[in-house]
This record gives sequence, C-alpha cells and structure tokens, in this order.
Amino acid sequence: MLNRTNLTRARSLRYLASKRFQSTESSSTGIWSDFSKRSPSLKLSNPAIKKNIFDKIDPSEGPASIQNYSRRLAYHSINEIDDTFKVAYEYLQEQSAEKYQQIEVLEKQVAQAQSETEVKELKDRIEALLVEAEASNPEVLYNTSYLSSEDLDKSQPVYRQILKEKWEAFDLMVTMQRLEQLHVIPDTLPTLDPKVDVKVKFPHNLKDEFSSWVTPGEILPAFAVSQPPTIRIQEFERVDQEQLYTVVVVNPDTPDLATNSFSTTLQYGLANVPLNNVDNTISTSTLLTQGDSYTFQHYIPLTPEKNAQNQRACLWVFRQAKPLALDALAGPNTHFDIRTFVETNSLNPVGAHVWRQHFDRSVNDVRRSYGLEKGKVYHRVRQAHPVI
Amino acid sequence: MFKTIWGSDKAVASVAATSKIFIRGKQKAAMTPSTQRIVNQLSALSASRKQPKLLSLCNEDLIKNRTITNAWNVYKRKLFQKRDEQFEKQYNSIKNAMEDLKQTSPELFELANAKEQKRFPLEMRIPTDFPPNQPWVYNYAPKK
Amino acid sequence: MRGLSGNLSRVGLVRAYSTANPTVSSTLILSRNPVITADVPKFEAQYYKYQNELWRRLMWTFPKWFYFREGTLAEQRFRQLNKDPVADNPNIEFPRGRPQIRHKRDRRFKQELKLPKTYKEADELEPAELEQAQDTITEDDLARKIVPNSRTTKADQENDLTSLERKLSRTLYLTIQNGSTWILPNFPEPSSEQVTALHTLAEEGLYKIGGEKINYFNVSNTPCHVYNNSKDNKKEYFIKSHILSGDFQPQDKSMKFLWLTKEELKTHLDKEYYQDIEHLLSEI
Repeated sequence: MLNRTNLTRARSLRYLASKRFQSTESSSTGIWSDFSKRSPSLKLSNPAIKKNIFDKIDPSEGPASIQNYSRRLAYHSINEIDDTFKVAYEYLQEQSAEKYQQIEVLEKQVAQAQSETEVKELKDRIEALLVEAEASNPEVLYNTSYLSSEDLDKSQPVYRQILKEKWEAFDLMVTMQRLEQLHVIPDTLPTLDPKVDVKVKFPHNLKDEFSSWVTPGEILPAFAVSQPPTIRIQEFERVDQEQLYTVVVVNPDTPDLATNSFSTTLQYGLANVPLNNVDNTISTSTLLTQGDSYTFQHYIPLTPEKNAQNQRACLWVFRQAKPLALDALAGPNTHFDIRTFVETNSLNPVGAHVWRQHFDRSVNDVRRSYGLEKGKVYHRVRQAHPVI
Repeated sequence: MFKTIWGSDKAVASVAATSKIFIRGKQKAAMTPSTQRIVNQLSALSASRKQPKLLSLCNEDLIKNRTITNAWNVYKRKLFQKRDEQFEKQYNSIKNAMEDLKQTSPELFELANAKEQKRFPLEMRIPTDFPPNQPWVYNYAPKK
Repeated sequence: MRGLSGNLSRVGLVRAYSTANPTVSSTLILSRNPVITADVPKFEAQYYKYQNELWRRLMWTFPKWFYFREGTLAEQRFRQLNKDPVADNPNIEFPRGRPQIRHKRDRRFKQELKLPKTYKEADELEPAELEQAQDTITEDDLARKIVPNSRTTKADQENDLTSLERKLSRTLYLTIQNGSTWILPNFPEPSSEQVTALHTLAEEGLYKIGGEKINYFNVSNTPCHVYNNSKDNKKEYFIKSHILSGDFQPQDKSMKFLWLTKEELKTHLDKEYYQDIEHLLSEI
C-alpha cells in the first residue's frame, strides 16, 4: 500500500517536472530534452549557462561562466558559432535517438531473457549504448568538464565512463607508479589489475595539508594518521546487486629482530562492506554506525620506532565472491601472511593505495593513546647480525 | 612602423650634420630606397605586430565548439563507412563477375583480360563550381 | 530458382540446376559524370562557414604597406574604402573591452578588407546611371562584373529527363525502355561461333541503338558485376563507361530513353534488379 502511494507520487512529480520543463523550453523537442525516461542528472543545472549554450550569449550580459563583470562584458564570441552549434546539436541528437531506439529493443529482450548470463550480456550492451547516446550531449559534456567528480551522478553509465577515462589518464598512473617504485608490488601481493579508484583521507585532521585526499606514496606524520581513514572505492563497472568488499592495511616493514629481517603486520581489517556505484565511501559515520559488523581488526596506526627506516602502509581493496565470517578472519595481527589470507578467502584484489611513515615527534603520543608499549630505539646503522 | 625619411627630416639631418645643433628625440639613420624595400618585404613576412589576439573562449563556447567538432567527426565517419562499404561491395562484385566469366566462357575471359593500350581521355572535365556557358558538347563526329 | 538467382554467392548452384546454358550478354552502365561540383549538404555548408570564420579571426593583419606604397593613388583608394577602426582613446570608457589596434586593425576581431572594384554594384548606382550601365555592358568588357552561370539549367526547369544537361551536379545513367520495364542497355552475345569481347559487344550495341555520335570512354574491358537474369535465362555482365561528349540519338524512333540519377533509377528500375546493382552507382 505504502509502496503504491509512493510510486504514484513519484510519477506525478515526474509529470510535473516534465511539464515545467516543456513550458520553459518549448522549442526543443528532441531526445535530449525529454526527461521522462532519462535521469535529470544529465541536465545542466545552471539555467544561465544553459541559456548561453542553447540560445546565444547576450552581448550586453556576457557569458555567465565568467565571474568578473568587466571581463564578462568584454568577451567576444566567434561568428557563426551559435548557428553551427544548432545544426550540430540536431544532428547528434538524431544519432542519440537512434541509440535510444536500439536500447528500447534490447530492454524488451531483457524482459524475455531466460538465463542470467544472457541478461548480463544484454545489460552490458545497453550500458555501452547509453554511454554512446549521451557522451556527446553538450549538457553532459559541460557537467563532466567543469563540475567536480563528486557532483556527478555515478549511477549514470556515461558519467562513470568519463570518470574512468579521467582516472586512467592520471590517478591510476600515479598509483601504479608508486606501488611499483615502493615495491608494494610484489612485497605484499604479486601484482594488481586495477579496477576501482581507491582514495584515502584522514578527516580528523584540521590542517588542509593532512585532511585532503592522500597522494599515493606520501610520507605522513603519526598524528595525521592517528584515526581510521575515510576510504572511497569508486567502481566504474555497473554494480547490479550489492558488492561486498574487504579492505586491509598492512605494514610489511615491521622489524623482525629474531631473523634480522622484516615481517608483515595487519594494521586494519574490514570485511563484508557493501558498496555500489553511488554509495562508495567507508566514512567515519559508516564506521560509527556499522563499524562492528565490518571490522575484524581494529585500526592501529603505524608507529615506526626511532631509526627504523620508512614504513609503508599498504592498503588493499578486494572484491568478495561471497560473505565472509568475521570470527574466522580475526586472529593475531603480527606475522600476517596476506597472500594466504587472499587465497583462503578467495578475494579478488581490485585496488590499492600506499602512504609512508617514519619516526617523528608525535609517534610516542600515538603509542600512548593506543596503549602500545614504548617504542624501541635502533642503531642508526643496521648491523649484519640479529640484536638478540 | 617602418617609415621613410621625409624630405623635411632629411633637411634637418643635413643641417644637424653641418652645424651640430642639438635635436630632441631619437635619431634615425637614413635608409636608402633599396634597403627600405627589403625592410618592407621582410616586415610583410614577419609576425611582428601582425598576429591577432589569442582566442580564449569561455566555457560555453568551448562546449559549443566541442559539440560542433563531435558532430563533424560522427558525420565524416558515417560518410567514410558508407563509402568503404560500397567499395568493398564493388570489389567483391568484380571478383565474383570475373570468376563467373572464367567458368562460363573462357574465351570471353581471355578477351576481357587482353592487354590493350588505353589512354585517359583528354575531353574529360573536372567538375567546377559553376557550369560553362555550354554545359555539354553535342557536336562530336567520330574519327574515321 | 528465382529466389536463388539474386544471390551472388550461389552462382554455381544456379548453373548446376539450370537446364539450358544461359545466354551471355553485356550490359552497359553509361554514365555522364558531374559537370559541376556536388551540392554541399546543410550541415557541411554551415561547418565550413564556421571554420572560415575561425580562420579569418586567426589570420595575420594585411601588410598594407607592402602592397600599397604610401602616397600613391591606389593607396588613397584603398584608404577611402577601408576606414580606420575606433582608436584606443585612454579618456574614453569602452564597456565591451578596449580596442587593441596594431597596424590599423583591431586584433580582437577578424580584419575585413574592401578592395577597389572596376564596376559598381546595382545598389550603388543612381537610377539614371542604372539604365545607362545596362546598355554599356558588353561581353568583352574586362571591367564588367563577372556573374557565374546558374547551377540549374533549362533542362532542370523543364524537367527534361532525356537531356544531358540536367542535374549537372549528379552522375546520370542511361536507361532504355524494354517493353514495359526500364533497364540499362543490354546486348546479348550473337549466336555465331566467333565470340565478341564484352566491351566490344557493349560498344557496338550502343552505336547501334544510339547512333555513332557518342564520344565515350570505356573504363575497363573487364566486367564489374554479373547479374543472373533467370527470367530470360541470361547472364548479364556489366561494363562501365562514361560519355564525354556527343548525344544519345535513338536510331529506332519508338525507343524511349532517359538519363537518370541513382535515386530516380530506384523508382524506374525493377526492384530486385536495382538492389542487385545499387552499389555500382554513384551517390554523387
């Protein structure tokens, strides 16, 4: 009953919205101005800029995207650009309408499809067509070019595709370079086939320097990482149902005095975290409300001892094939073997991140607040034989 | 920018040379007409002060320009695809016709493949934007 | 049998099943190539216009001093036609941006030049002059305004489908009437022992039906297509050629012929036949 009323309300709202849209823009009637089936997030939200693009830049006002008044008035457009744009827009819109017709046919096939693989295949094709149909829409172009990636609606395949291209062009390359140069690969896991964009920040910091997104490989002081991080895992592929993720932070540089070598320590472990395209962040509020049902290893920041070398905090993100039992995962966090962990739980590594730490003035405070024993002080020069 | 020495200047310069009177302003060296000509020619080739202001479009116009370019690319791609498809069909059709002819009539196949000196006709015209006064030549008499 | 005949890849099958050997014949695709350039579609025209504007906006300033020596009459005439732009006066407020004048051109915009003409446009003349001007214009007057010929001809206006002067921007193809249907001219191989080459057959056939006053260029001696005419038990090999000058004058007065474009062929020819040869015809 409740569902039904909601549905009718939504329908009437959508109808009203489309009415309003028609009344303001009666001139355009193509597929790109029809929002009965398309998401309103494909719209250009700023009405002044929209008017500038679709009508003309009024010389007495200037383009709305320029803030400075005198610069705005002094702007001169190119001749013929508006007329040419109109013709080009009509042409592209026709092409897009053809794509939408194909999508309609495919959607009917999805309704009749028998097997799950067939449905997935059809849905993939629909998604590819949706990207093609919207990629050259000027409103979408404007949104992707000038809005921040946070404001884009990731449920739309076209935005995901464009974000993926942007990610591949820069962030992915930086991440992979740091992972390889700092030997996160293969010190922790043999290799990585990156599928998701992993971003990390520590929002408890007040300084901009430490509270913004961490560049992979950055060296951070202990106080800046003293609280669990906010992790954003952006999936670019379509997530039909909920996908579960496992996130671990390991330190492969823990000094192992017995062997005069290093061992891996598990610093943080989350499992069964449900995320999708839109809801993609493991934030402080998620941890506060549902943290207990995800955490199998509580966060312990890295606290490098004096004269120990730089330590890497390697964050790995895995896709889970099935839900895992948290009790089975919990165990001692020292001498953690990440490769067996991945193998036994059949995890699929899809993303990684790394930051570094060394001893600084705040390490002792952090140790005290986490109830850890006092740190050792090593020799400045590492000896050939074990200390013990 | 490059100016010849005016008559009055020349007079002033000659006076200055003889009587050493102080003249306010920058002194210009006299230029012979041939030097002047070369300077003019070089100045026509050089970019100095002749370049227009750099185009800096606002976001809206950039989007318009990209849309126009996108549409043009799609349009051209469609044309080329259509053309390529037609070429492929034509090629297949020639190949098929020749294979068929070889089986149907080997003599005709031989005759079709016989080498012959063929010359491109000089009378063939390249299309122009506007037609000539007489669009078509009717009075042709076969050479016999 | 009928269904199979249209399919090119099953030529062998057709041969195996047909009772009598099909007659070999040669079909001539005689085309008149376009005389004028193709009509530009709306989008293309608009795009070129836009690119032209961009190009002009980014062009260097015209080096006037190089072409017009100072103090000459030509320079004076040029100066009269091309007024200087508004100067950048520091005491004046320019709401739409300060002019940036270099070499008497505002470098924010494209430079528009007017060159002295040897004639006057119709709207520049006084009414009295107008009559006089029309009388004095002669063909060999070098100073006259050059007006290009119209792209549409008399044949277009009269819709004369048999004229070679129609649709100058398109390729025209010769079609003749065969009974009640329209076909491309087709000439069967004579039933003597001696075979005639396909291109010779086409040439001789063309001269026979259209007279000898045709200057034509045969592109190749090899056929470009084969059509299995199951109705007449015929194999039609297509030979491509262009008419260069002369005219098609039907020797048999009752014979009807037309010069048609690709689209018009679609409406005139048999549907199956047209679909089979569609790819041989030019879009332009």
